[in-house]
Amino acid sequence: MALINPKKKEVQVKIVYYGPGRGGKTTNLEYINKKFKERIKGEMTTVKTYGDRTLFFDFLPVDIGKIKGYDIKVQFYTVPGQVKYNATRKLVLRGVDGIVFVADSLVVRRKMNILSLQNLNENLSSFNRRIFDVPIVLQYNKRDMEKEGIPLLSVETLENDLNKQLKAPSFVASALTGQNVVTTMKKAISLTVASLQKKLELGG
Amino acid sequence: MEYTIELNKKQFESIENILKEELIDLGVQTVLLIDLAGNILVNLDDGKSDIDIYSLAALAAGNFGAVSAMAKVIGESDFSLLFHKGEKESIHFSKINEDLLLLTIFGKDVSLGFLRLKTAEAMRKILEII
Amino acid sequence: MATNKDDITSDLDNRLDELFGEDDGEDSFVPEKKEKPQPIKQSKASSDAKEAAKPKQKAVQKQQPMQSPLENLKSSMLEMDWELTDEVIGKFLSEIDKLKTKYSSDKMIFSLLQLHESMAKYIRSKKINAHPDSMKLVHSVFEGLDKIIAAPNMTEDEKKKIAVGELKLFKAFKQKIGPAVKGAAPRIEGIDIEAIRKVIKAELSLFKEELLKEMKSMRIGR
Repeated sequence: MALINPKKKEVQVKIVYYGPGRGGKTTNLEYINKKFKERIKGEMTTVKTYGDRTLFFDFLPVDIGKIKGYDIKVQFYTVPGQVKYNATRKLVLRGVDGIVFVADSLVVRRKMNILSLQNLNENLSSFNRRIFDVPIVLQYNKRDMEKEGIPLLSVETLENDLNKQLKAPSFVASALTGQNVVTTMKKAISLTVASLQKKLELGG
Repeated sequence: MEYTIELNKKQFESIENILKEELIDLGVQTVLLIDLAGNILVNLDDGKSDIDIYSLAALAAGNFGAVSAMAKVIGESDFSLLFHKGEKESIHFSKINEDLLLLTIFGKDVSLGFLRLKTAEAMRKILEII
Repeated sequence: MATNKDDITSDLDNRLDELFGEDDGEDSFVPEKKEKPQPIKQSKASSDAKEAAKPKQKAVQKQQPMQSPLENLKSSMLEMDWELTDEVIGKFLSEIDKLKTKYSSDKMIFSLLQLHESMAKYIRSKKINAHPDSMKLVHSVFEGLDKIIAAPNMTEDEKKKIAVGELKLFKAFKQKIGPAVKGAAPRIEGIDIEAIRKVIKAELSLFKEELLKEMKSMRIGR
């Protein structure tokens, strides 16, 4: 859960990018980091294995500034998407305040998306949390591949597969070109901070 | 329910005082009290430090989780000494409770033996408060 | 409450727009140049690991061809570096005892061992409230001992120089933990600081006496 420091009037919020391996979670953060390097002042840290796969997590701290008297610091994390790294995913998910689920639009990745969302649900339950109670935004990534003739899942299919029950805000996107990367992020911050509203009032 | 750390202003102040008295006064460079989600509860330094504490906290929380998992793999419930020695600076970790971790960064002038005594004392005092 | 919530959301959204406004055609479908994002601050695990693997402990570097009689003392001293428990300090003290018997006829070595002993006893009794520099002094005394024992042909004068040097450090240390510097000591109740000081004082005067005697006898001998 978000850490609220009433002494320093500071709130630390943790937003995790979740999703299947090679889905573009790291690319999302890299885009944000590159684009807003000057403004966000934070530095991106990544722990990778060879071949650029995320081993542990990526981390990007972003200082939003003061909202309602509180200094809001958002920490973005990605989890390793590969199935075998579930222990690490759980570690990163600990204390999460908001989630961006990055789904892969490629037709061949349909099953992986569904499994990854199930895995997210299971991992949250291990912390006694429900996926419906955590602010979540869905992103259907890799839409740029369509132009290269690669078959993509339709938005309807993706919505039906992943968002039927969640009914979360969702965006088509391309992390590589930056399409809707920022929109997704802004929505995630907005939902997450708004969910803390009650706590902030009490704390202040 | 997942543990959430909620401390009031007074608790934050008391913890800062404890960490200052026990550790900063011993000559350590930086002290961070973090939770296992990677959030920073308290950070203190000797005024000469300029490190990226947010990244450090995120990595430390992850690292600690990984090391605990390693302990379980070999049949230990936990490792009692977590320490990384550098040429100039070293990092010492101590687990305060299920959710809190104390990170101490210190130079060559501080003896690890003393530091361990002091962190144990600081931990004892912090546990009385939270 | 509802209005308040809208408030924070609109405040936040404005801020997010400020921070993350995209000047170049926001979120258009026009693909940008496909630059591969540069890898950012990579963790340099492999190269750093090599550095870290180098043994760095000073004491370890000075390896002698034969096993030094101080080997066990050194290892229990290094153990004290890691952990200051009664057990570890006890090991150190019992090693001192052995060496005291072995070197009972060598006054300089014996005196340095006594100095070591007082330091270890001081640390054992004060533990957390011992002065942070105490272990430094223990190391320094060890280095003195090590120098003397490693060079069997060292003259008495040279030995004396080393011993006197350590004594000076000890005196300076005593000043530091003396009444002038309160430090952490008075904070904890139930520990008799004076009694500990007495022990150290007694040890120190004994050491001084012996050193003086030794120096006198050497002068007469010449």
